[in-house]
Amino acid sequence: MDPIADITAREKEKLLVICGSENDRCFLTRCLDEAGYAVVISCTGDQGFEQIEVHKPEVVLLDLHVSGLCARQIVEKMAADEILRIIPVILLAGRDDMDAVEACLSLGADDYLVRPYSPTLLKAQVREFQQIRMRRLEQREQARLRLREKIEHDVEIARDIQLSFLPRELPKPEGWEVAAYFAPAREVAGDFYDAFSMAQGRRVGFVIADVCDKGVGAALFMALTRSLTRAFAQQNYSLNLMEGIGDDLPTAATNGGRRRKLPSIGSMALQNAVVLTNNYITTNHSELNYFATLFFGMLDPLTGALAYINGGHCPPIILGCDGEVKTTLKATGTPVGMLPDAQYTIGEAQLEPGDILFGYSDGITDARNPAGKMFGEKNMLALLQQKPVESAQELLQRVKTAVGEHISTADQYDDITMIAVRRLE
Amino acid sequence: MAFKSAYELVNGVAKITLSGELDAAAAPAFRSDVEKAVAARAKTMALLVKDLEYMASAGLRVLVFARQKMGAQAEIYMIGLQENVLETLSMTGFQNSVTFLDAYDAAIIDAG
Repeated sequence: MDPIADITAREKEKLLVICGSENDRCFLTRCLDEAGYAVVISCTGDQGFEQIEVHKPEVVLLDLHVSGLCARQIVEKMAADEILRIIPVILLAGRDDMDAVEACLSLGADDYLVRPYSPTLLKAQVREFQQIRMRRLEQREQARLRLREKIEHDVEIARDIQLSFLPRELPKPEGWEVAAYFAPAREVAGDFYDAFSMAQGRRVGFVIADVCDKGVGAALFMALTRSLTRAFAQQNYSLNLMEGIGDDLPTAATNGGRRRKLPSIGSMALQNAVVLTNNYITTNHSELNYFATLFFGMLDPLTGALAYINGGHCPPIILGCDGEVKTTLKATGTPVGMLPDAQYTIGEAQLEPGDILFGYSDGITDARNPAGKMFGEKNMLALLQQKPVESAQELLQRVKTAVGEHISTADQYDDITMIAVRRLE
Repeated sequence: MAFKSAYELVNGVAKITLSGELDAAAAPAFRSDVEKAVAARAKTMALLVKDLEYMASAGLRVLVFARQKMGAQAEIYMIGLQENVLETLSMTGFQNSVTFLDAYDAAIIDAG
């Protein structure tokens, strides 16, 4: 509860008098006591400021000549404090103190009384400043509400941007089942997945990616990365008339360490999509320090051959029709946008009938339960291999349910993204 | 464990001690210390991370920032890194941009 609002509920309104003169202290106390206030007295500036922090009075009456921590310093400290700055300060001054009065007023004090003090004027000023304090409190509450609404509105916009950059429809190549799942975090983050036709329908591209950090910036960077990757992947093929001719074909590393040339269709598009996106971001947006871990798999639906680049993303898994993990598709380069002129190699895999390619983001492995324990990679692998699935959708549902149960009442900290591509039997 | 970042500059080496969980909320504190190192034009950064239990991508983002701002010639050491955090770094390939040490070795670090 707001510490100021809390004390408004008290019965007798409390005032604080910080004054070095005993005569003045007596006079002020008597006046204010008669008017029904509870008066707290301090003789020195140090003690006075302590009492301000403890009691948070309705109004402070501050003698310009108080010893120890001086009046000016007290006014400055109050003005610098988010809670104390609401409390009105009435300076107690002599006729020769106008310079000091002006200085304190410019630092945040509200008004002043000149000796000899008039009891009527004193009570009137205190009453007036009580009202002013109430209004300040209301204004602060309204400002907080407006800020909260603005933040929620910005988050909504960022979330809408994020969702609008996910594919409206998934490709449905014959002989295959494709399913995807996306659950945004409570605070907007930057996961995305994408799936689209490439090489004039002869290939299907699948992307799953995770922009670092959270917030509106991550969401905007997600939009940028997804657009560049897709545009370079789809545009590149038709522009590259020389593809398939000459020595500059992409190559793949095999286990034996020898490099061999890949089939040309789509491979150039795959490589360039990641390389050009990385180059564009590191050249034009390096100041932002954003990057995205990104997996881009390119499938030949006729043969089940998968060529892929994994830029630092958690390795997608290929499950066999018996439910066992056949292989994991580890990193073949650094995250996109992290290092200029980074090299990316293309990995190869094969999906046989009944196999499922499962891609995911670390929103799953890092998901925390109410006790703070993470779901973990071991759990996820065990879950995937629990028993063979009948469909890609079923696999996603299995993981979604298990993670949902794990998170339970805790906040979902990160986006949860999954994509499953199954070759029908 | 709550995150803590502590900075000191000793003989031109920026030492930052990180402990706890470096998530998105904690990253600004780490970044602020890296900015001090950059402002001091430190050529070497030693990150003492034996008590760093977890690093989210927001933390890695600060490391990328450090590498970029300090320049390719600067040395960044990570000392006493826990296994799971090393795995996180290795997955992204960023481990090639820093040097790992098990313990603080003044002979190596201060000489840079």
